[in-house]
Amino acid sequence: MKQIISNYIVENLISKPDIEIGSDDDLLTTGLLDSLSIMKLVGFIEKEFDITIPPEDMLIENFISLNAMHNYLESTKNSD
Amino acid sequence: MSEKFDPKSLTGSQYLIWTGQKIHPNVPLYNVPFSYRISGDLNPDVFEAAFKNLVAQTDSLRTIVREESDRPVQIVKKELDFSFDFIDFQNKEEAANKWIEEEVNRRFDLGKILFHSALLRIASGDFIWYINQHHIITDAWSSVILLKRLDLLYKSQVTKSDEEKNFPQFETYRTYELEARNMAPLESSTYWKKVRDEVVYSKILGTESQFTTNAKRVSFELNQERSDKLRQLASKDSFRTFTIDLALYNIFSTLIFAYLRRVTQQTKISFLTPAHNRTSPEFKEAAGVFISFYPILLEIEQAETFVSLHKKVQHTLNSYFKHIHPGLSTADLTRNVNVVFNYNNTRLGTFNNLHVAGTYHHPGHNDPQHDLLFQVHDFNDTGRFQIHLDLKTDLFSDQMIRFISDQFINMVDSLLENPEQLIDKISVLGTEERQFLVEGLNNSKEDYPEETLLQGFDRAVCHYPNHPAVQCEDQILTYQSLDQLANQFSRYLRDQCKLNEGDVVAILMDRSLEMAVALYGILKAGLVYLPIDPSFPSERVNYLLTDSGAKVALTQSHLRYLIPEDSQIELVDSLDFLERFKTTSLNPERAINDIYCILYTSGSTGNPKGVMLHHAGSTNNLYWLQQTYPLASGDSILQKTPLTFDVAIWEFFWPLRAGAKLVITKPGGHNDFQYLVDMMRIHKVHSIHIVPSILRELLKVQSIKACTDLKYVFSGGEALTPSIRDEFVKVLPHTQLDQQYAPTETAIGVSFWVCERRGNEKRLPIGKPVANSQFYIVDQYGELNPFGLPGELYIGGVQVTPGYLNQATRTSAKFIEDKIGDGHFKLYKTGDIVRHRKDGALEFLGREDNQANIRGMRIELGEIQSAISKINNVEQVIVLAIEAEEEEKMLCAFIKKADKEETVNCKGSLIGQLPPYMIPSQFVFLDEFPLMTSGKIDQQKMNLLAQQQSTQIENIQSTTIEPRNELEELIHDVWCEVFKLKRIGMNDNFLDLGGHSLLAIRITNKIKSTLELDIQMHMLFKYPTIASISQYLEQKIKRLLDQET
Repeated sequence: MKQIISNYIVENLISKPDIEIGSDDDLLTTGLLDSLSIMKLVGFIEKEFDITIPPEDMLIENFISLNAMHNYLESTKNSD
Repeated sequence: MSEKFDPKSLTGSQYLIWTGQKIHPNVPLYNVPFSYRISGDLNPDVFEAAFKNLVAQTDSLRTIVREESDRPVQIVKKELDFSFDFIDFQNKEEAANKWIEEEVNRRFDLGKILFHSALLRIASGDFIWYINQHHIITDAWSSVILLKRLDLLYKSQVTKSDEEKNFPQFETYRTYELEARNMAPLESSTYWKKVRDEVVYSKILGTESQFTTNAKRVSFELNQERSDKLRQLASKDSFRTFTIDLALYNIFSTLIFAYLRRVTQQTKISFLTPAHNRTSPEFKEAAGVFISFYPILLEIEQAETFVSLHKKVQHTLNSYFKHIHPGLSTADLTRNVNVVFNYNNTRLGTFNNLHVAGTYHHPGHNDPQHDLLFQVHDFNDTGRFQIHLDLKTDLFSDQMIRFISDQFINMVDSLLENPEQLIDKISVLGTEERQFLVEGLNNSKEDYPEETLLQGFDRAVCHYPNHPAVQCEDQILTYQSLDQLANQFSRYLRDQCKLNEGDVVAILMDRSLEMAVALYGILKAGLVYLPIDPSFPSERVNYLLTDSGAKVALTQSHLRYLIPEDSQIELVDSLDFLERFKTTSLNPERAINDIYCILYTSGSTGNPKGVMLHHAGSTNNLYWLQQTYPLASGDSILQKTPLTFDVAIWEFFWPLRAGAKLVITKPGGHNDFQYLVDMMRIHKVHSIHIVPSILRELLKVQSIKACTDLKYVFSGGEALTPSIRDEFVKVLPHTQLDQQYAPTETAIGVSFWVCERRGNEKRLPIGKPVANSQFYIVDQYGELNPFGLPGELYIGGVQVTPGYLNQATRTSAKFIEDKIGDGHFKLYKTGDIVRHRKDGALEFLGREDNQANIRGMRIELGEIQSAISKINNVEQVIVLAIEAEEEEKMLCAFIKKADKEETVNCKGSLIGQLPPYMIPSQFVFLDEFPLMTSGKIDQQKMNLLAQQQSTQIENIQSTTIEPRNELEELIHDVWCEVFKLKRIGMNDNFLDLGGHSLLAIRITNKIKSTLELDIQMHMLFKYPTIASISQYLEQKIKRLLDQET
């Protein structure tokens, strides 16, 4: 799951294709992803994993890193 | 909007810009001028070479727009002829600024070149790179990209490393947009459709939309402290989100919602905000117009705080971002939204390693739909937010623009001070505005005699003892004889009727000399008079006598039956009985704040309440009247108003302070229009105070034209309409018409307005306060409203009466301590909704209880009524907000026609007169309005009528007229084709059919090609029916033929 997200970010949202994203790398506060990119990522995740992320879950702690996204997505699965 | 686009077609945003420019072909409303000030030395030749490279390597700069058949297309030119100027201003910075100021207005020919650029040298080591582009090839972000590109190209030029840069091009986005627009997720298009149906126009500070572009930009920055605090807030728990910029964007959006709430008082508020659409790394570095507008919409509650509002904003913006998609930002979606918020977080960086400071100029015009734009940025990376407000100058005066800036900063400060506070309770007024509202608009302080009503009369008796004071038919009393009779009458009241000072005396008499003497006698005895009209039903007479505690009732034999037997009744059939009383004055000791009269006003609910009038208030008013409309000793005034109205006070007491003559009209004469006009003419009346509906009738009397001595007509009591004014000016060209506003609670007249002789205003103002009076317009909490915003009128000053007789609770509810002004007098809460015009004159909008709230818009029903009443063949109209399905309310107009056989074109006439949300959705025609026993209109019955969908509903379709000649037929076919309709009436309105600018372009193009006639699209807005446009074209064709022969 992290690999899919990471590939999408590297290919579509960041200009440097050779970059390697670590599981705990801060994607947001570093400015790596801007507001529109992160919203695009949200849209991608929704489609790819067939879930709906409600606006109130769109928080920094759920999306700050690949690990955070992983944990968040796992938690939504569990609550179903 | 699934239209086919060929490879060179415009993007959605470009198409909207192109349309807007077509509507205003000669206005530079889409110019995006930037100047970049570069500190350090530059080589102008190198710079020019770099710029030429920039153009060569940037497709957006080489783009032009042409029309092919009736569609715009863009062409990227391989080679483009352009000049790049270098201008040396030789230390004259002012001259450079002036040059820029003029150049920002440059009009671009869409088909030739869409930018203009130059290098300006201010001084050595001080340059400005100026670039002005048409919005169709740029947005603000793109202007910054050009600077960065130019920086690279200049450096390469310097080092002669002249390689291609491979900059991303706009064409990539254009093709992406074109493809993507057909792939919008259903969920997103559904989302925007819903938003489109719910967005509302923001009626900022009471202004109404005008289809103009004139605008100005006011710029200021939030200082370091404010800016730092905002950033701190953005990282706090409840405000932070994905990124700091997104958090700031959310905070500014919250501020703008909060601000709009306070200056519109609407519950639903929307504004447009652009999506930058630079989603991929490539797009982030491409020049061109990427942005597209989407509305965001919120409902704001009374209990809203910044924190709760921010939550809503965050929630809504999340959905906003999720649903933006190429092709979904349409004219349809954005048309009704008049506020724009643009947050830009790009930074300029440096140029050739030199410091750069950018300025974003304004071309002096806004898009006609955009009344107010908020732009927030920090291009120059100062750490301080730069705010530009672009405001339409037809709506906002310079003064209002200053106020608005202060209001916005106050909003920021309130947020920073306490995000938990209630939005509706924030004090938004700046110091200058508050002072203007409290003092500037109420600059009415004048000295006035602190005396009772009688002291003015006493002076006149001394000055003009033998002048005629009162005339009733052939009988005339001189000042001296009136004085003596009144003295005798006062002794009669005190000695024989055994009344004490301050006692209440009812007076139920027909107009007569006796009545005049009795009135002055009551005052001279130090008593209080209570007028009762002979037309009152006995129930009401009883109530007034009991409630006022009147000791004695003065009446005439023929009216005696109206008074209950157990009252002390005194008959005043003649004055002969006064002979036995002394003619000298009792000289009662009355203070100026003592009461002299009780006037009962019929409240809309419950029993009538007695307003206590005191000497000081009325004296102030009469003194002001005399100063403003000088009355001379030879003049005369008619007494025609029933004593129960406060106008009778000015009729009785004003002339007799001035040595003029009071002419008493016969009983019932106030409803005999011919008689009134005869009296005015015969007695050379100086001025008359009359309600508008009676004035309308008087103007119909032929002989009124002979009243050449009439100097002033005062009108009040109900709205004086522009149509009455127009008629007045025709009939009485040399008489001044003034509107007055006069709640009994503030004595006689408290505002005045000299009507302009002509004008196309919707309503005539009630004007400005009379001497020593103050008007404050307040919100639901009694706090001053910002200038221009409608609110309840509070009146302060010496004319505010002491309140209601025997009704302490009601009095303290309506007469409150003045916490706004100097606190010297009480404030009277009128319950009337008013607003200030730009010039400070007050407009009356209606009663507090005559407002409807429809889809979050507060609507003054009175305003709609007055618009409908001006339509041909409308005799009477009432507009109600009636319950439709699902608790939604809708506007329904009930109309009584003047001529039943004729039709009334309601909707068609109202378009353009009223904003769309104020046009009733239903028109019901009635022969008579259902009345209740009180004589008032039975609104419940009307509600029922509307819900029954009576067959009398007249729709605009019902009067379809077929084409009557070849030309009309031809135009009809064009319209039908464009509107995709089978049949359109000759008088159906273009806008009413759902017409908008795009359709207008199609229609004019089709007409052009069919008739080979040049017709401008704005003509369609000027001549919005097939009939009128055909007529216009016919004239045009005739002229052309004439020229040929």
